[in-house]
Amino acid sequence: MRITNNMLINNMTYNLNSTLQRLEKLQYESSVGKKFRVPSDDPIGASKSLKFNTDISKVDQYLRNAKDASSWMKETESALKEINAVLHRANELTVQAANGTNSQDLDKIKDEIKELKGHIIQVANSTYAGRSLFTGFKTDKPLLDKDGNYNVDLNSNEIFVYNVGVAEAVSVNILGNKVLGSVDASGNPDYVSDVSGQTPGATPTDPPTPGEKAYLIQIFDDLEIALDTVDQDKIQQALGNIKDSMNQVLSVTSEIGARSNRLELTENKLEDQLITLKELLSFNEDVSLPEAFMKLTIEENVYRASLGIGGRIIQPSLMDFLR
Amino acid sequence: MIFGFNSAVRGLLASQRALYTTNHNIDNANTRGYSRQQIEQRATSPFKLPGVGFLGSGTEVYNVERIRDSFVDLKYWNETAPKGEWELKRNTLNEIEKLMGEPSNNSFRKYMDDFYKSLDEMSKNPSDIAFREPVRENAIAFSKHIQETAKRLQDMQKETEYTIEMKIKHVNSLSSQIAGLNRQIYSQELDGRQANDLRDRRELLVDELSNIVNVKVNESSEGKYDVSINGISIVDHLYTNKIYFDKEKEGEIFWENGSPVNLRSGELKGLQEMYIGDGQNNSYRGIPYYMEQLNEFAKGFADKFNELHKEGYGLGSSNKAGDFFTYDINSISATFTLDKSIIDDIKNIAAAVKEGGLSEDNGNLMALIKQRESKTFFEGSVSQGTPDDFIKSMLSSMAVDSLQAKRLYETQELIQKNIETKRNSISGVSLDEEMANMVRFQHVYVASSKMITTMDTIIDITVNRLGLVGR
Repeated sequence: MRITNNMLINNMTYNLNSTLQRLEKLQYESSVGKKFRVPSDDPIGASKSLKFNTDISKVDQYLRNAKDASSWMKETESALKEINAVLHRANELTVQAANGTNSQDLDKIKDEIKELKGHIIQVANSTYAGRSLFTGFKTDKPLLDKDGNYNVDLNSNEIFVYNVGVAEAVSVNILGNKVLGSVDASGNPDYVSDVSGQTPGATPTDPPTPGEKAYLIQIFDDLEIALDTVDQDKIQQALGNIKDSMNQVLSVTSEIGARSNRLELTENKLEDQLITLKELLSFNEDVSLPEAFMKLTIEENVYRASLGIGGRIIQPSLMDFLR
Repeated sequence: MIFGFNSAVRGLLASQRALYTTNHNIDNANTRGYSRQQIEQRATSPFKLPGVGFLGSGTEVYNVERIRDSFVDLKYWNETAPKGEWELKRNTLNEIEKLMGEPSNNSFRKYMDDFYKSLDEMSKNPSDIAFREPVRENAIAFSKHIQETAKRLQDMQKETEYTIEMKIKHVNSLSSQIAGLNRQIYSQELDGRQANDLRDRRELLVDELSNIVNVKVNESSEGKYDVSINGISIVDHLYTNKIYFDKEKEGEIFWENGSPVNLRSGELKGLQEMYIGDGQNNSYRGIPYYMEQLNEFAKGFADKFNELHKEGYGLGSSNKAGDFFTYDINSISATFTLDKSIIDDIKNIAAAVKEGGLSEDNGNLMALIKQRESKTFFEGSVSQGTPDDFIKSMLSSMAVDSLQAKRLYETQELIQKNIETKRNSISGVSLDEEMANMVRFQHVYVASSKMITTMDTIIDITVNRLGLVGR
């Protein structure tokens, strides 16, 4: 084949250009740390990255949701514990009263019971970040008024959920009446029915007007009267009621504890997922730096070599040797 | 004696012409489209001397020939057109890819992720304005991104239109130039010799033309030069057939007489496909295709999202909420934005599923978030599934097309480069060769002049020194 000068030069520039293109790509890869800059560099990888990034964003959000749910639950749990402590104290006092102490002591007990009642109302109205814990969807309102009447109506479906997975949601709140109860038509506690704010047993009318007494407060009210009148029967009855309420509070506490535990497991799982996803993403689109650097060095050598050789080949001609 | 002089002068003249040709070659070593020239030399007619035989009478240069292989030209033109086409498609698709912004923090995925993230965040405290605000802001960013992408696609469409017009002007100018050269070459070649440099120039013009459109060249035995696109002459010896672009008629390109130009390849074909290709009926996926996809996405997303949004209630509202997104049906993605009610008052974001829009009621938000996973979010013919699926499929079809264009271009470039090398090997000027020739011709020139000196000496001796007897 006949070789002309321009062929040599064209070949050299073409080859130098291809080497430079590879160098540029490697330079981009090692300086940005990513394997591709447009999807066509790796269509499958790019669409995988798309998925991983979205998944990471979702899992990240789920994790935040789980953490927020968990704080809410912790707050609920501590409120419940406090109610439990109050009930313990009330139990103690009631036992003392039932054991027949003198009327001066009964007065003191009565005063303390009154204080405890106030404390329960306070705890029932406790908030998390300015939002009432026990009021269902109406977190902008307190649960009980100062007399212990429900300030809001509570529907059993007013449970809000947070997403902690694609198809996994966790119920976050506990309705107040599940802890405090309402008084049903026969004067027994009702922890299940919606609180309509109506007088016990009445059929709800629209719109409901809050005002129904919380069962737990009713116990305290009854106890106060019993202490006032020194009615041992009633005191005994109150003792039983307090015990029952304590059981109820405990059962709710354990329910939320169980929920919290499950949430913790979910959180752990999500954290694991996040790490796995980040690993996958990194594996998918991140450049291994040592490898990139090695490749860069190789290409650099190729470039230097082709520059050197090109320079030597295109330089001389017959003219240099003619006199 | 004079006979010897004549013969020597012929030698001188021939070497001189050979040297001129060498000079011409060296001068044009870097001229684009130039093919090296060679003199053709032969011995002049001999004298028949009875009893002696044929006595040589010297030499003559009877032709200057250009070294060129028309078969290589043919291949060059055939392969240049696809190269032009794929180069253009590669560049345009690359631009579209960059416009979509994946992988980066300025992509659909990112904006959608952010939007849904803020929805999820809001679901935890739907009554708090501080949690509603990000939803509106992220939704605006998301809609702005769609708008901007649509806008840039439209700009690209306009640019493509402009480029088509430019290319067509160029094609018409090239065809006129070729026709002009045809006239010149035809008239100069009447004596049967080839007008080398003019022919080089004409072929260079065809080179240029073949990058834009697919051409076939046919030169008749009487020297009529015909250039055609898919069987229809664009240059018919001295006449040209102009083409024009009509954007009103779906971006078609027409001949002077109104019939459409059927392009097989070339830059113009690439441009045209990017300009009108909507991916339907096996047509190429050009800019309109991506605009259509974007519209379909924007419309589908807005409709489904609104549908569910309207089921819910705004904060403290006892009326069902209105739309969340809105658009103008005539140019969906370019006008895709938030509904006025949301922009005016973020309380109108329907978080609640129950009438009254209670503080903590996030039922509708949960439904909206869940909707993202709905496999029936999009039920169109092309893309189905979730919004993420839609974006993914749009992106991967783009990536695959772009990769294909890139690969085809690279292949075509290599093929074309090989042909060019071949052409260079045949027609290119080699300086070493020319130097060697120069020395060769110089030697003959020197020898011929020596011949004249020799003759001169002989005559000098015969005339001046012989026959001293008579003095």
